[in-house]
Amino acid sequence: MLTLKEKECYTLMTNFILKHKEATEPDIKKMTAILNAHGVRVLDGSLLPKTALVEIEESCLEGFQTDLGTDWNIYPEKKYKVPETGKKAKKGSL
Amino acid sequence: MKNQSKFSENYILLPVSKTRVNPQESPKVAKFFTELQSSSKATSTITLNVRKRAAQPSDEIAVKVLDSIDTEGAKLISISNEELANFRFSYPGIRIIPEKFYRPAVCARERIKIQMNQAQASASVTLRITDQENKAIAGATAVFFSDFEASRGASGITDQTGTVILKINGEVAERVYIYPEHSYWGCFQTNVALRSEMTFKLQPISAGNTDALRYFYDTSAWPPLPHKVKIGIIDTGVGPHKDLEILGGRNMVRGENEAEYNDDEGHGTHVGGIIGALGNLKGVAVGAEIMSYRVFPKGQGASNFDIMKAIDQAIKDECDLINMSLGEAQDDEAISSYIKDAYNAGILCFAASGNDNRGPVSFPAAYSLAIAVSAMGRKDTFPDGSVQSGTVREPYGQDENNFVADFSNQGSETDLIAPGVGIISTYPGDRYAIMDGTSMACPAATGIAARILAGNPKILNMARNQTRADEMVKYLAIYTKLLGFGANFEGKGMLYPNDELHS
Repeated sequence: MLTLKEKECYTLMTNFILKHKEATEPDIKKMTAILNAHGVRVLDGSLLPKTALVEIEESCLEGFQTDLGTDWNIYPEKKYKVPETGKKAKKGSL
Repeated sequence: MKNQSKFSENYILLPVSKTRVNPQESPKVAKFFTELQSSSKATSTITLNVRKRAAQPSDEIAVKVLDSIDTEGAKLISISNEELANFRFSYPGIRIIPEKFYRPAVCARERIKIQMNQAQASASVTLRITDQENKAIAGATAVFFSDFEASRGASGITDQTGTVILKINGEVAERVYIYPEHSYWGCFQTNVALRSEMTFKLQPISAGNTDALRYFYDTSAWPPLPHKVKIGIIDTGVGPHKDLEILGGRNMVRGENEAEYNDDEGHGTHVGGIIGALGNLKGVAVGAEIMSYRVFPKGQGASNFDIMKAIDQAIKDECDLINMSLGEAQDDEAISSYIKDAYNAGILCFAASGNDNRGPVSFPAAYSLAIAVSAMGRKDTFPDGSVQSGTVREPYGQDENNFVADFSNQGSETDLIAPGVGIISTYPGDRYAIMDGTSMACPAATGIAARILAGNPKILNMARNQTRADEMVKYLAIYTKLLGFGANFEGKGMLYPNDELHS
């Protein structure tokens, strides 16, 4: 059975990037504890300890950010494209 | 004293890292900030020297310091748009951020959008696309516009018989574009009478074609680089191709095999060939060590996280230059922080300005520590009736055969311009293709930068820190030439590796 927090975070998961602000090494133990407390899943930890891609429900983000404190920035994962030059007709237009 | 243009705008100057310059880490930037601080108390315009070759006459940039946060802190300056690229190249290692004005966050009113019913198609066109010997060309994209301004029309891709059926309204197509995948020039026609069956014959790429890249840069006559320069290409992967040697790389796409950094989409291989093709077709930087960092899952956009990983890997691999022929409209502080890390590790990032038909410069090109490259073309370097003939648009250069490509974005963030119309380069399957875009201009600039820097091992052998990146920018600045398009289109102009830029 899901707890209230798990229920809140169960749907509409979104990817975010955590980036440590300072030049000093982050406190990974503290960070891991906060991730666990908020049910945040690390999707890609290849840039740890300073950067990680995590999955979190957007409505849980504020509490997560508060607990992380000011040492970390949180950015949404975005998609980039190859710039195209080909002309396109709008779909369904004739 | 030089008069300041009436079209001056305000910019905030910040050190590369943090908000205050550290005199121990960056003594030159600290000295410059102190100089600006002292002038901030006066209201007059000051003049700064432009970096040029010793033999060239000196020039000055007019700057007004409007405000300052302490000696080591941010400076608010006013500078002409025309001079901004000159300033960036003469005083590198500084973040230059446009002054912005924020408004209260009041919700905008919703606007009603009227959805019109689509008219019924009145014509069905069976289109066949072939080469000059009537051999079918599969995989070509045909776009027929009944109303170009409204983007109204029909499009499709040819099958194995070179055929596609389009349903279109009206008797005349205002514009027709045919885009082959590779091996042929595309086709552009206006006011085409529609018939039930139509055939378009495409011209093949021939060995005799001198494209815009080779018009300006005589790549076939150039020797390999005299000194090692390593270039990281962040793209769809690069190669394999018989004309390309890839030193190494990594697939950064989450969940994919990191050893698979090859390209099967074409974009990255084309970019790689512009830099380093070494077969019958030569790139601008033959001998450069190419690293392929694949960030695009097949047919999808690239995650900013994967791009960050790629920049991080390029830093670890000790690249000298990074090519990013990609972009998006919005700023992305996550990627900026890694471009900043690269700069602090003595690496320059080149990025495509974007192809939004004179839209604002895309991110990351617009980021002040990246080098933004826009695209130009040259008449008579592509066949009449080719897709490229539809990209000719003002402004024209001092030489009126040069033009800024119609798709190329513009803005004060533009640093350089390079050939990006009708560029012939490598394509998967040991083929060749013609592509257009700031995506092609970007590697042209990156490759020429590699060639210029290879002539100065003293800079390349410097310790990998911000000073190295600063010196690289300053050195490149003396190998630029304005083509007469205006600063918003060309920034500091076109890079050239010797005194023989063909223009």
